[in-house]
Amino acid sequence: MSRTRGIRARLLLASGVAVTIAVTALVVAFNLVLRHELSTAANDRARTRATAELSVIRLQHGSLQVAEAPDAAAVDVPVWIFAGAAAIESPRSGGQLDSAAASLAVHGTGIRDVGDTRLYAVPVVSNSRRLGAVVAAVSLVPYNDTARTALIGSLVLAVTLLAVSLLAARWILSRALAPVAEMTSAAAIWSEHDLDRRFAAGQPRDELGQLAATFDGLLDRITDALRREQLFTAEVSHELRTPLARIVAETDLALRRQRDPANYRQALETVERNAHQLTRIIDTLLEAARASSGQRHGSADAFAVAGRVAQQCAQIAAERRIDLQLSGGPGRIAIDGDLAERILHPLIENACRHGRTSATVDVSRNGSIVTVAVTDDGAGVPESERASIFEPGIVGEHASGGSGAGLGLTLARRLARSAGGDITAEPGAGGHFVVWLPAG
Amino acid sequence: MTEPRILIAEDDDELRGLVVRGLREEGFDVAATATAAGLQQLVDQRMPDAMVIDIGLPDADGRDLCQALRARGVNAPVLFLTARDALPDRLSGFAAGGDDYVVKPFSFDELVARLRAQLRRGGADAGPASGLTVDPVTHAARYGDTAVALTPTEYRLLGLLVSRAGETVRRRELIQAGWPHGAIVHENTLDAYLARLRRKLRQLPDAPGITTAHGVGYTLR
Repeated sequence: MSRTRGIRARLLLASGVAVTIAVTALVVAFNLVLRHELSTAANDRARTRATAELSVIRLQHGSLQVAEAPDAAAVDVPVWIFAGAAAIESPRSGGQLDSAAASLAVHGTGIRDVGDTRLYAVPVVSNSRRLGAVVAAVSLVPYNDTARTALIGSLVLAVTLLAVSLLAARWILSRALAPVAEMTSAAAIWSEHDLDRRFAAGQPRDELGQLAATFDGLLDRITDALRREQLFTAEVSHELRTPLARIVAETDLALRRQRDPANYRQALETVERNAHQLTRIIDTLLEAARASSGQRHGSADAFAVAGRVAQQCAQIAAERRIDLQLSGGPGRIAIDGDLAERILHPLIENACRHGRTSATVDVSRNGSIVTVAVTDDGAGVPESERASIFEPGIVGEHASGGSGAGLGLTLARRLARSAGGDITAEPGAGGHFVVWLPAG
Repeated sequence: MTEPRILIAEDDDELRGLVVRGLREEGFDVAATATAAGLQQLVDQRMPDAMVIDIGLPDADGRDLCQALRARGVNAPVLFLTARDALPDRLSGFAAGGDDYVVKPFSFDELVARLRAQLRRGGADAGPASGLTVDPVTHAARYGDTAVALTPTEYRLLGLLVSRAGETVRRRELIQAGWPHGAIVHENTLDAYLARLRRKLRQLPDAPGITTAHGVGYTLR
């Protein structure tokens, strides 16, 4: 939840900053344009008044005369008329304005602001000779008032806009992110308590749909991995319980009543044999754990290892009258000899168990890979079982309940893969397994 | 009174030998085999008073074997031997018609005590045989001379229905028997399986069919 809130705060901040910058720029631009427009309007008004006054000025006997009194309607716009530097017409106003108007008249043209009043001068020209000037005064008070009102109004509007947009963004973000938060917590709960639940949102139409699909895929993979691990654990426990069950049953039985020494001896032999088997299984499991944690390094000759395993299986082969042959040549592998032995053992033992008359182990090197092919002339692995035969809990159609050490193919493949190799079941008339090991 | 006849199906040679020896010492008439097919032959020879069946037999699941026996009307108590003790594993044994279970490694005294308890209670004699049989090894249903192949799940569902022919089997029991690994099964899935099973049974001339008890379960009649 806190992560979601973090994203929301960051998005909110980003959108807030963007909106603030945009609104500020708008407010500043608006007020600048407005001020410029108001200033132009004031100038226009003053110029219009001054030009109107020009039309009532006559040149008589070389001096300027005002034909009529200034328009009564335009009384709010005071006008000075200067002939040369002397005012021949002036409003009743303060001295400060008079002197400012006089100084403007000297230049003939120009604009000057005096307090709240703008003075605008227009030259009186005749035959390219400047005879004097007309100066109009416009009060800036209404223009300034308008500008101030507009500034305050636009600021209020900007703040309101900012607040509203932030609230809206917050609401939208909360709504948009709420499903994410819900999905996250649901996925967390499911992954802990109920791995069979899924969002099952169908074909993803948007980012949330994709998120749901991704979560579903993730949960699928977790479930798969967990199921495989559970099967493997069940298999391990099964494998450990079988010799243990023999030991417990044998001792229970032996202790139920007084027996003769031969009976006790037989019981102890059973216990010893099964204890050894338990040790072998546990060693193999530890080997697997070490191999998968990458603690094992070493090298061995695959041919020599295959020979050792063949020797261990010689008894089974002899019992079933199987001709066990070893062929090929030396192949150095980058795997510890013990580990390689445990990888090969179940395969060679299976070949001896399931073959009809013969079993072959062939070691060869192909570049960076050493392959050990184990074949027999038994019933083989049906195509439908070629992949699943390595799954824990799967017993091949022709498997028999032997007393093999370890977990057979499941563990052998696990060991091979953790050592950078693999085991595959190949098509063929009889059993045909190939072990791929990295060359040393 | 003769000694109770006990049949044992356990694939581990050593353990089987031990159980046979121990039970004989206890005065039982014991016969043992390593496979599901072997046990069915032993049952054919003489009806047992009780059976001890390992769940992990090489040619079939012990639970499937139990269902097949029940479907044939063999109602002698079945005690499962199992190396798996997870709850779904234990429950699925009961769903398949088992009466009790012992987890390996087991104490011999416990095995004997549980067996005696089952023998005291005894199984009712051969129930209503519907004529329909199921084969735990090939997962086929057979009626008269014709047979039809079933998937493992269909097999388990039909096995339960056949073993309780004429009786309405509740949906929950069917799900427990059909999916012994404790999978979460949708109600529709069960109906879909039963519909498929019905179609397959129609391929067997004159064989009994499956009727629906709405909201309750299914009946073979």
